[in-house]
Amino acid sequence: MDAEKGGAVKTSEEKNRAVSDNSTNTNKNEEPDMTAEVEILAFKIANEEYAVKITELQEIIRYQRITIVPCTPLYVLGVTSLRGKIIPVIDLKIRLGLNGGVEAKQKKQKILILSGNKEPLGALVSLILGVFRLPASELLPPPPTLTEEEKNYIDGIVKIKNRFISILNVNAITRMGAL
Amino acid sequence: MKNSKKDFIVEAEEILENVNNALLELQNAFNPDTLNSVFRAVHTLKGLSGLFGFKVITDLSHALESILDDLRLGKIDISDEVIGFIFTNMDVLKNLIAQVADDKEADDVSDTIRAIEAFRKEAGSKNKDISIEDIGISPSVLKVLSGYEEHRLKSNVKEGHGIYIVKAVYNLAEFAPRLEALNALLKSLGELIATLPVSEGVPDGSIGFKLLLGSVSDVDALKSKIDSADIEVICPPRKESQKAAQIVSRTQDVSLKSTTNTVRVDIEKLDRILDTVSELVLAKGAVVRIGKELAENVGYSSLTLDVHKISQTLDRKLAELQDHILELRMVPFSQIFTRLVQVVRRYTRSVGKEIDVELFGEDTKIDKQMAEEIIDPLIHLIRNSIDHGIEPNEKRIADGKKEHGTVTLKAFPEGNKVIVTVQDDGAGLDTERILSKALEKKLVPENQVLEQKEVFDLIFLPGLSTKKEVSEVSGRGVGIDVKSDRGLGTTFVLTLPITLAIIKALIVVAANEKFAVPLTSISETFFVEAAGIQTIEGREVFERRGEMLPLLRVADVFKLENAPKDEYFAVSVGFGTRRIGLLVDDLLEQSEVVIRPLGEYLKDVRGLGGAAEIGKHEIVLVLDIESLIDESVSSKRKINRAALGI
Repeated sequence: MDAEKGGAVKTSEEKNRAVSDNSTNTNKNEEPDMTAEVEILAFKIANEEYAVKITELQEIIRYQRITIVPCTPLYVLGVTSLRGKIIPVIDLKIRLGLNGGVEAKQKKQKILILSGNKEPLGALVSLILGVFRLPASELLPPPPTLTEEEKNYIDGIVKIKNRFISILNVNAITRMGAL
Repeated sequence: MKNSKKDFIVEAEEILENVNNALLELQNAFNPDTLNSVFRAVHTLKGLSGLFGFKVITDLSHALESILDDLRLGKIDISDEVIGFIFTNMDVLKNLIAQVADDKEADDVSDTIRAIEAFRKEAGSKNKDISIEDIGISPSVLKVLSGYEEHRLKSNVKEGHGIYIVKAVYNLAEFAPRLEALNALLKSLGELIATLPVSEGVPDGSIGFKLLLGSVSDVDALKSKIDSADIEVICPPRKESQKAAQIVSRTQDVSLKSTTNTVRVDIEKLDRILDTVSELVLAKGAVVRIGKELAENVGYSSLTLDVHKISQTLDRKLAELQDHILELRMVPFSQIFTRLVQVVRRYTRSVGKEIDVELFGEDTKIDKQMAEEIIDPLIHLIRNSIDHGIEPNEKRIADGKKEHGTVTLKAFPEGNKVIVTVQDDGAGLDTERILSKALEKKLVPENQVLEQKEVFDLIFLPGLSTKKEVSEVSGRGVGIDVKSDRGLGTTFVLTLPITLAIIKALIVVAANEKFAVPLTSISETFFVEAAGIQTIEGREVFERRGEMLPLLRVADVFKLENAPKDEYFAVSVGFGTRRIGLLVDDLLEQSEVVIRPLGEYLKDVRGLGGAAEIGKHEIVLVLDIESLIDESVSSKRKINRAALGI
């Protein structure tokens, strides 16, 4: 229990801020407000950098034991227990069809607990890069070279420290059975 | 105080409290839903008191119910006077219930009942009415409105609300959720008076509805909210001033003290406590381990002995705590029976059969959650008996049976299980009918010769009626079996775990993965040599005490790779004749587990009933025995078909 609490990154405070940002944002949906901000958590899978919006993230836990669930798609690693609740965990690398890259040691990996489109769901990532705030106007559309399916998974692209980071569409990724 | 009486008082007091709150609400602002809830609550109290034999309470609630019905149907106008009158009589009811609680002689309330009747007549005669024909709705619509709907229409007109008809046409395949969404939308805009299906002008494969809406909004406002729907204005809303809310103070001459010390607790709160306890159990495991390590490292010093002692105390107290909490979740079967009897009465009346219901084992205790989950399957089984089991009276007399059929419900504990039987003295299962239905749905290959028992088992297959309801509770260690004698009747036997919260499970290993098997499903475990496994029609079986036990390899079910071995363990699971042997690599331990659902994403994985945590973050999957048995039956069918070249 202790390890879990220590390992968890508390995001609720930031989340609240992000939520209020978001609500002012939706009011002026049509013309993007230059002052609106997006808060994202960036991380590494395989060799690529991705991010999720903080509003879609519940917490981050350390790697913990995952039990295989048979007869599920390959990207479903299995289930784990989060304070007594059974949470499925997916491997984002397989889900996004990535390969290559040096896999971080299992102990170093983190599980992001995402809100999911039905219930919370865990996603295994190799390395957490950090939380970034940036104006909504800096969100770029995904490159046109992506396939339709790939575009589904990506909400937009941001540039941080001269590196491009794709913001994942949590809803699309957690829609099971899409593969 | 007798237990059942206590239940009645708890329930009755809750009803009265709800009614009083609702009446207060009605006094502040009139809302038809609130009035309906008062009516229903009093109706329930009437039924309940009748069941427990408190006639005075039944009579008084009946009188109150009639006056509420008049209010509901608009025969009497709602006013502070009426509400005050009902309040006074609620206090009389409360007194009567208190007398039951104190085992006192009940007051004579015939004067009160006469007063209610008189009040009803007087108030009813005062009521002026408006004619609904004048509203301007087409007679074809008016014709199909129920009395209550008519009344709601009238009062909407009276209050100056606009009356609209919203037309909607949906595709047959998807109308249910869309209609529901529209209903919810309309309810937010005003009062949905009636939903009427229409056929004219609707294309094939679609279904049309006219929704009668009363609302203070004007038609433009409605159109902006309801998109693409066709709205017909019957009459526009009238501007009117808001009625000022009035609260009339009432004299409280009855004691406010409740007569029971019962607390009602949300079962989720109990679940949370259980969660904490199961975490404590894991922590206790750690203390035991530390004790052992100490003993190994420093020998039996006084410190070691202390740790040992404290871990034993922890163990005992935790077990006690767990028992207490589980006990809190238990309800007597009488609660289920009461509800079942009501359903049966209503149902027999609607099908025109007279049936006696006999109940045994009302005091048998069962987990509240289990009780809730089992009630629908039980209703289904009973209706099945009434529909298909019990013959018409004439036939019964001709067969020399007593005129009325009997359905007998029994509940009794057996070890850590509860056995529930639903028995009828009807014609017994009609094997030919079941077989022809199964053939029709292609559930069995043609020309297949089945033993009688195998035919009976067909009724549990998906596609034949009984299965659906029962399968919803399987996977939690619930089993079902059927016995039937032609001409003498049918008995369904349900085997339920006493609680769903914590169950004993056997942890087994197949293909290096651990699985939990609910102990309630297991009849025995034994050792199997690979050489002793035979195949019959491609299906693996094992001879056990002279009988053929079909085998199912757990690793194969879940498509897990498993190298062939010389020896296996078989776990014999299932009930009655629906029994199979699960082939596993190893048996690990018996463990008390809390079964949790796999959640929305994984709920459709077949063969799994949930998951349980057995160590820190260590989860085992719980096997759904009933679906595995189905699997075994259907794989047999597949093979048969292959053999027949179908």
